[in-house]
Amino acid sequence: MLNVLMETRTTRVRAAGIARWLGGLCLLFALRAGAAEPEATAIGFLGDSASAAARGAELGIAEANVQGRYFGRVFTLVPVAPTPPTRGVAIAALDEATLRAAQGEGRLVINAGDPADALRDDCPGGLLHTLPSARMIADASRQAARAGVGAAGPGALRVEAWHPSLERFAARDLNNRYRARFGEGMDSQAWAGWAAARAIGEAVIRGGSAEPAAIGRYLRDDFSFDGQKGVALSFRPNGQLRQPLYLVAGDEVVAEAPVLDLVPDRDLDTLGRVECDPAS
Amino acid sequence: MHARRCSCHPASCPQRRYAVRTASLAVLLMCCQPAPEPGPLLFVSNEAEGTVSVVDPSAGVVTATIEVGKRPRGLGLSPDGGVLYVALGGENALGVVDVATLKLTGKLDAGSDPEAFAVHPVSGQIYVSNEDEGTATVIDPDRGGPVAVIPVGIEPEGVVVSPVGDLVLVTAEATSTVHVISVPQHEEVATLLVGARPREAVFSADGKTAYVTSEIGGEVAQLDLAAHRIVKRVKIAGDAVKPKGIALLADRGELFVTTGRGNSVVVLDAASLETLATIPVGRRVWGIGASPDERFVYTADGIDDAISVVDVRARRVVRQIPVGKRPWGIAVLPR
Repeated sequence: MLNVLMETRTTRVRAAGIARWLGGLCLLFALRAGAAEPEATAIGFLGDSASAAARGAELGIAEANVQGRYFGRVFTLVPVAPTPPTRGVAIAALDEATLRAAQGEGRLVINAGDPADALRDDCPGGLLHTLPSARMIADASRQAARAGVGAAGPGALRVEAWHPSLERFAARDLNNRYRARFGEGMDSQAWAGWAAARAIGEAVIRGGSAEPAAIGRYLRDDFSFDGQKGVALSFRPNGQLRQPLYLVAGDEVVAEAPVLDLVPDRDLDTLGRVECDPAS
Repeated sequence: MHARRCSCHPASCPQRRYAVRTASLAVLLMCCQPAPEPGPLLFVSNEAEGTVSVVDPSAGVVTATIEVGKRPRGLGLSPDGGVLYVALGGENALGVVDVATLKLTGKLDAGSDPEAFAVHPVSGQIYVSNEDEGTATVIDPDRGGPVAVIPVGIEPEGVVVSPVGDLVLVTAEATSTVHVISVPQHEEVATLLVGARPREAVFSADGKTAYVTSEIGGEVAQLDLAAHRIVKRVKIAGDAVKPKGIALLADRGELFVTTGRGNSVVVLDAASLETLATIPVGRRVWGIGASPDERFVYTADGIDDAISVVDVRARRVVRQIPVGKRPWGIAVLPR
C-alpha cells in the first residue's frame, strides 16, 4: 500500500501566516470565495506501489504539497488500477502494452516506467513521458563514443536519467531529500516518478486547473520547470520531457549528454526525436 | 577621481580613521593634502580557500586576505560598517570579522549549512537561509545565536532586508516561492510564485518594490510589496541565460544581473525590465556589488579567481583583479 507522508508543519508562525493569507491577500491565484480548505487533487499511481518510480512520485507529491500549502492546493497519490482507464491524472510505472491499455478519455498519464520509442512516435493522446526514450539513450551513447568519453569496451557505459552521486545544480539537495526519506540512493526511475509529480504540481498550481486536459495543455505549452539538472526542462510535441542525461561507468558519472565537445550549445534535442512519427 | 577639498580640520579629514588620534602636526599636514576619492572597499569571499579578500577596486589591488573558516560564501556588514559577517557553510556558523583590524574575532551559530544571509539595517539582526531545512533563522549577534526560526519553502537561498526595515524576503528555490516576512513579528505576510528556481532579490530604496532573479526560469520578476503581488515577469533574452545575482542602481534606474556561466552582466531598465545591454565579464559570475556613487559594479568571477570592475556608464569591464580561489560573493563598504 502506498504510504503518503503529508508533512504538516503546524508551527504557530506557519498557522498565523496561513490565517493571514486566507484573510484575502492578493496573490497570484485567487482563492475561491468562501473556501477555507485547500483544493484537493488526487493523482493516480499506476503500477507497482513498491517501485522506485512510486517512491520518487511520493517525494514529488510531498514537495508539491509544501508549494501547494501557500496557494490553496493539496495533492494525494492514490494507487489506481491501470485498466479500465478512469478519468483523472496519473503517473505510471508500467510496461508498454499495459500503458497503452491504460489510455482513455479524460485521462492524462505521465510515463515514468517504459522507454519504448513507439510510445513517443505514436503519440497516443493524453500521454507524456519523464523517463528518457530508448532513442535518447542510444543518441547519448553514440555521442559519448564519438567524443571518446568514458570506460574501455562497449557496454561499459550506461546512460541514466539520474544518479545518486549527482551534486551540481541542486542535485545534491534532491539526492539528500530522497535518501533522508527512503534510506537509499535515487535512481533514474525514482527521478522520473519525482519529475512527473513535480510537473503535475506545477501545472495545477500555476495553471490554476486540476482537469487532466488542462494539465496536459499547460505542460505541452510554453512550460518549463527545474528538474534539478541545471537547465529548464520542457515537454516536446511528442510528449517526451527533454533533459540532460548522464553517462555512468560503474558507480561514477563520467560525463553528461549532450556531450559538450560535440554539442557546444548543449541542444537537448540532439537526444531523441522531437515530433510524433506514427509512420515509423 | 576628483581631489577632495580638505578643511584641514582633523575631524573632517578622510584619513582620520587611519591616523593616530592626536593633534599632531603630521596629522594636520596629511589632512591638508587634497585627498582623492577613496572609493569603496570590497570584501570578497573565496569559497574554495576559506578566506576573504579585501580589495581596493580603484587601486586595483587586494590589500589584505583574512582567514575566516570553511566554505565562506555570503557576506554582510553590520549597520555601522564596523563588523563583517561571513557565512561559513563548512562550519554551520557566521564568521565575525572586525573591519578596523581585519581579524576574525568570533563565530555565531547559524544553523545548518549557511550560504546566504542579510543584516537588518537598524536592529543588526541577521536573517540566514537554511537550505536543507526549509527555514530561515534569525540570529541576534548581541545574544550570540539564533532567536527565531521561520518556516519557508524548499531550498531557501536568497535573503534580503528592506532598507526601510519592515520586511525580509526569502527565496525558496525548489518551490519557486518568494516569502514576504514582517519585521519584527517574523511572520509570513505573503507568498509569491515566481519563475523556476528563484535565487536572489533586491529592494528599491523605499522598500515598496523588489526584484527577484529566477535562474532556471531565466527571468527577473518585479514585486509590489504593498499590494503583495507580482507586477511583471520578464525573460532575459539570450542563450542559456541563468540569472543569479542582482544589484539595483536606483539613481540610474538600472538593474545589473549576473548570469553565472553566461559569463556576463545583463543591464535591465528597472521600470520596464527591458534589457539595455549585456556586458561580458569573467567566467561563472555570481556575486555582485555596486559602488555607492553608482559609477562601478563589481562581479565575482568564480572560475577566473578574480573580480571584474565594470564601468557603469561605458558598460564595460575596466579591470579584473585577482583574488582567492572560487570567489562567491561581494560586500561593499562605503568610505
